[in-house]
Amino acid sequence: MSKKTVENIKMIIIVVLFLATILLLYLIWGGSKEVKVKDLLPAISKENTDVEVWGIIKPEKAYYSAGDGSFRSVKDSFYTYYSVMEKFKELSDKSTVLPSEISKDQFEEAVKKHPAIIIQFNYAVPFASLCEELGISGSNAYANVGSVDTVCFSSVATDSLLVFSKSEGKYYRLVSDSLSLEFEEPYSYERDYNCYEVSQVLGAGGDGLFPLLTQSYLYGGTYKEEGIMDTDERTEIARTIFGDSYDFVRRISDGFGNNTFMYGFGQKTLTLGADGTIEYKTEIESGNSQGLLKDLATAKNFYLSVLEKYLSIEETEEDGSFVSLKLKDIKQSGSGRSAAYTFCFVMEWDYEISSAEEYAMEITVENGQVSWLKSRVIPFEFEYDENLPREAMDAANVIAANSASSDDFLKIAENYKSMEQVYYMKNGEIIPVWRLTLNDGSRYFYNIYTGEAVN
Amino acid sequence: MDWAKAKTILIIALLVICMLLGGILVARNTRERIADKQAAQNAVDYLMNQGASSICDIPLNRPSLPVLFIHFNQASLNRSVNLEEYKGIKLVAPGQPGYLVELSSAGKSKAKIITASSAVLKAAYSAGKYEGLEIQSIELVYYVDPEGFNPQAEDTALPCWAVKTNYGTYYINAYDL
Repeated sequence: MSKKTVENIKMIIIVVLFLATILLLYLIWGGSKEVKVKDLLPAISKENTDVEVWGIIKPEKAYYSAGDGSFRSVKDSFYTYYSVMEKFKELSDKSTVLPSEISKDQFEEAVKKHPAIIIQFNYAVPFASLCEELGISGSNAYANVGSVDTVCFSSVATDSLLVFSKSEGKYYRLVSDSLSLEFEEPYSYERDYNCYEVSQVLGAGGDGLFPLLTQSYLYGGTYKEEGIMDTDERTEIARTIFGDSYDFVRRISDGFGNNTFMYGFGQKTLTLGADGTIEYKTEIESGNSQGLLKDLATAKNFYLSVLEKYLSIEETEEDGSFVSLKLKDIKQSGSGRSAAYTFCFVMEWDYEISSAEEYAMEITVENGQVSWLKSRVIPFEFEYDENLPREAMDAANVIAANSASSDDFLKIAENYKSMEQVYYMKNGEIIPVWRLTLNDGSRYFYNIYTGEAVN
Repeated sequence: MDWAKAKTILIIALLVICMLLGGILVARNTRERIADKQAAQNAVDYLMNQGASSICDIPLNRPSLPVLFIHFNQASLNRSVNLEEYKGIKLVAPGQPGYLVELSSAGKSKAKIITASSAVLKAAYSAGKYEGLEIQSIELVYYVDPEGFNPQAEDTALPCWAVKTNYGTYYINAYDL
């Protein structure tokens, strides 16, 4: 055999041995993977340390009480709330602030008979945790205050923050031992309007505030749903939920555009509807609630991971293409470490967007883990008419026109909770409406210009 | 440079590496096989101690398998069908009478399945009582869950251990749960 042939054979052997080495390494390290349910869990990071939640906790309404029984609804309630909490931060940082319980009469005197700023939430916020989140010192001292629904700053007590806990029926004054601040009216805004207690306007009812507003700044227009989740977006969402185990889940496509992804025999299920709805549910592991704000951070982390695959949740965009979510309600079951929270969100533009469904997204956190999510948030393009402001039908007349009798009118007044201008989405149209909410939670929508019922 | 000598050294080095890796692979497979065998024996001992009356041979095969994508076709006969197979593994679709289950494609990724002995223990647990339990057969199948059955839908069959007992047949998901 010639030397050249031997060298050629050696080359072939080297190539074969090299390939064999690669094959063996593949078999040892990467031949196959085992699927374990715990591998599914890090698919969405449980870490919520980077997620800020205080910006999600937004008040439902902010009012300026003139002290003479009249109130002005402040359009920018978040800024007003922020300003009040900044004042409280100053009090807490520069002096010792201690809570003391006060009576309802004392509270009402301070906020109704003197100029005051009233911030109302639609849900109860754990005050000490909120202060901690906002970097307000001494938050441990506020543990007894519990969860609050109303926060006030009154001109008659500028050394204090007044809070009301609806669930406990208690009023507190958080008073500084040495410092008083200047009281300032909230920044006046062209869309602010006056309110009075409902009993003063409708002749019956409690102390809910009723708007005296005959103008509307809401846009009318049409909306078009934009490309609700294409195949790639659906795959991305499922991959986000199931992680590396996506390849081993049961997938059902029904031919009408609905997709279901299921791990095991239903331990973890994701359903993506043809209409853009998303429903996710999973069996949860043992664990403990981390408290409302941390569980809210877990929820936010989760829904951002999922929804960002097909829409951007940003602040209002000028071009009319937007989705902004507002935390509207918090439902709690259980308490302490076994508490489960369902966070309910609505869509919002410059005003809230309503529809036949009460919430655009609901997400439940149990044992500190997301156990359920239902989203009806869809990206859409809004074409609107900018001729503003327009004359709106007076809210009291809207109720009168839609009441079958004077008894019916009185019944509404007695059960009155709120009357607000919002958008209502229906069959491709965005309609500016008055939304009447009663104490039992029932909601009625009336066209803001004609007063006709739209739902 | 003496290229001929360099090639010889390279061949020897690669041979040593291949033998080493091959040895590791064989040792690992042997160890897994012994462990699986031991696990099967432990499962039998445990169930017999709990009052099971008979247990068939427990298979030791543990292949890596993908999911299967399937669709349904209306059958002329009103019965459940198990006509399809994937690499010798039967496709089982109970609860869809009148429809043929047809294989569309196999998933791209494969995952190693659980041992038959774990499946037997899970089946016994699902049965709810050990006393008088007879494990009659254990078979690796592709299973179409009847839950959410929709004849128009594209569905998925997952590898399962079908454990037949005197209390019923239990389909245990063969991916580790």
